[in-house]
Amino acid sequence: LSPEGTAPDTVVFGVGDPCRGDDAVGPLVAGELRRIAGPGASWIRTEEPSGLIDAVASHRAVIVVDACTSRAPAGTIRITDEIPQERDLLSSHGISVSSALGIASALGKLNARVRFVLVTGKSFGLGDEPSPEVLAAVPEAVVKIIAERSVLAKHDGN
Amino acid sequence: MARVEGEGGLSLRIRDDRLEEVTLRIFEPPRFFEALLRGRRLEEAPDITARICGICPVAYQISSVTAMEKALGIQVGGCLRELRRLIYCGEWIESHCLHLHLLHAPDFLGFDDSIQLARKFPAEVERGLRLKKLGNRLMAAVGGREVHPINMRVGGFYSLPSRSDLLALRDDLRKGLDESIEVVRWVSKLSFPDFEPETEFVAMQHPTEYPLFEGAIVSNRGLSIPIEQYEEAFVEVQEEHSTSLHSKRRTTGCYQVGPVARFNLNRDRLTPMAKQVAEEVGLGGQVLNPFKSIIVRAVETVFAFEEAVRIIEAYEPSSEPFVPYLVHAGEGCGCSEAPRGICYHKYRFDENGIIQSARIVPPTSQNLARIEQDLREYVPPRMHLTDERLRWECEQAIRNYDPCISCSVHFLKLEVDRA
Repeated sequence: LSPEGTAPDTVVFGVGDPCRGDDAVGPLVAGELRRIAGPGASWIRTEEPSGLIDAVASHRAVIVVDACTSRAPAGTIRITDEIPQERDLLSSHGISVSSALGIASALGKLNARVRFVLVTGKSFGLGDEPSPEVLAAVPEAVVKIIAERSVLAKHDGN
Repeated sequence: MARVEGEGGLSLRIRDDRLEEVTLRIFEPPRFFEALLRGRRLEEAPDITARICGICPVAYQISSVTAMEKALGIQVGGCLRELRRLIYCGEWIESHCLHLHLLHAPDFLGFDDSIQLARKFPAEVERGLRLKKLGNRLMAAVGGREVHPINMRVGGFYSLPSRSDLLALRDDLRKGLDESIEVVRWVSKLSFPDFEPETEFVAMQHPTEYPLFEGAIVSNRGLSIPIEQYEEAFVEVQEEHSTSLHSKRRTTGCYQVGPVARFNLNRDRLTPMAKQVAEEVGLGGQVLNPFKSIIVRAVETVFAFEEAVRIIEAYEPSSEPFVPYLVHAGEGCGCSEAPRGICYHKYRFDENGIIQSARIVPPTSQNLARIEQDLREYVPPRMHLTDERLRWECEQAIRNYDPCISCSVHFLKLEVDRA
């Protein structure tokens, strides 16, 4: 696998909290991609979701990797163009993925095609380790993301 | 989806047009980190505690390193101290700009969320995002990355940025300073409810500087103690309705930390432009209305830009990135001004530098009792409102404190029991 260079204008955005059980899957996948791509792979990002506003403004494609809840078994990977529904957050401590994309759209800066790679989790407690099912899904998610990048690059004629 | 980090709930019990009870039920488990630290090396504390929060990791890092340095008997001064102030400025800019533009401003302008705000006020939102990004760049320049910086260590830093690295930021920071002044003027024109509760403000106070991580702990009711006496003056109590701890003054009860407290106790120590614009928009005296915290955050953003430019212009890297030390058994405490208020850490470690005990008091646990008290006073004149409108008003009042509940993202459910 040699993801660096296959789609230079596609960024991968790993979202989630490493200390919150299966919510760590975004950073875990990003970390594995970095291990493969080597240091300095600037197309792999693990910022808070507000960083997406810039990312979708300045790149042709963004792949968001995140944990989700669903009826599917833990570790199930789903790839979609639809912005996943999120709970109505009160927090004054950050903005969600959907808010970040909504703000970018409202500002006329949602220039990128956004793909979501969602991994179903089952445990999100503070201090929980990621579940074995989600950990087992990380390599598969990495392979799917590299394939997605190649497809997006072909679409863009890269 | 995204961060699933706990829940909070607000319950209002109303009987015969009388507000009987207000409970802000928050599930905040700071003991997890305190237990996690036991048995770890003292050098690990800054990076472990930074993980408590994605928005204010520098606060946790600086409170922990200053506590360790006190226990080890080392002094960190010169450019290392200045760099710590610089990265803290980055965190204040990032945190304040996110909160005031995307999370608090929509409340004042009647919007449900920041997306609606962005549609109606695109220039202001874009300006806020530009400023926030500058804060992130400062964090990355000093700390190695924007979220959970990795360059801070006990004694100083792992490596120092070059003078040219930092000077490359100067022009953008100057522009940011100008734009941040415009933000103060913008938010000062918002409408504020008439609400001025009696409050004890608590903040750090440095002899000459606007406080970040040095000085005494003071209040507007006569408290003035060194950091070492924190636990003599404050106590954390477990409230029945919540797993979160509430900090209280042992003698006077609830109190307020954060921007308004800092401003009221340190206004004369602000940088010149921050002081000037504060006076221009009418913040010449004490700020007693917690809703005006949005203006104070904007003023503190001006301060942070001004201070960052000053530090960068004077910066000359030292020959060594950190002060060396010999590990020995020790105990020490540190305190710093997180964007939301004072963040207290205390550690004891053995002769091998293995942590035996840790105590962390985040700012939000210090504000929780004050938030509940604000709601007790704010809700009664508004009980005729619909539940939906009341929820809006309560959320806005809670957001005055930019709560950092379990230092993560939270979900609030409002229950109004009018039976």
